[in-house]
Amino acid sequence: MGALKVAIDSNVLFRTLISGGKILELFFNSNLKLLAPLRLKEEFSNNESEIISKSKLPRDTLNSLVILLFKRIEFVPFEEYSSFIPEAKKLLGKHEKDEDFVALCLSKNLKLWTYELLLFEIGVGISTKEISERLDEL
Amino acid sequence: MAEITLKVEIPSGFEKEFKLALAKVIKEFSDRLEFEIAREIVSKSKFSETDAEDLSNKVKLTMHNRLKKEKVL
Repeated sequence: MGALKVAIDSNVLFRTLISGGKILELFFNSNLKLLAPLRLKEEFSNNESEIISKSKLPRDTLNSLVILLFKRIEFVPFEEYSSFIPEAKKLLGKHEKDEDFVALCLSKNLKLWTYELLLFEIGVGISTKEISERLDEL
Repeated sequence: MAEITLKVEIPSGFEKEFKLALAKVIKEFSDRLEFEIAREIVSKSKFSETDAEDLSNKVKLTMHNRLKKEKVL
């Protein structure tokens, strides 16, 4: 059986910085392939100072961690999913701030690893628990 | 850069199988090693669930505003 491929929400990426969580272990599972909008990578880097301030990690240490984390993710340029933005917006209704992530999922036929309840309600989300169980089956 | 050299005897007649198996083992080893380094770093992090949610929402809003600015929406 092949690897499990999912897109990741920003709330999952930021949760990798929390000590003692299950997310980091899944992140490094070789049977899990992760995709994310390239814009997430850019915005993560734009908020580096705030991440340092909140995590209390030295800049060099955070940079080493970020290199390891980003190596695990295939970042997809906007052009590859932009045509799915209108459909994503329609699905999301008022919750439109997730459109980059949902459009990416629609374009690649993937589930989104997330903690946003609405994304489960519209059938796009996949939980940490479900990913863990699916990986155990591989 | 520090280096570790590992010598392994390859049973004769199994060179091809050995290469395939070794590639798989090295990939798993490398993934595990990187995970352990990441875990060690994150163990010192004071980042909280609230921080993750706040920054995630901030980033999503910026991405959304970028789409609006580019007139994609």
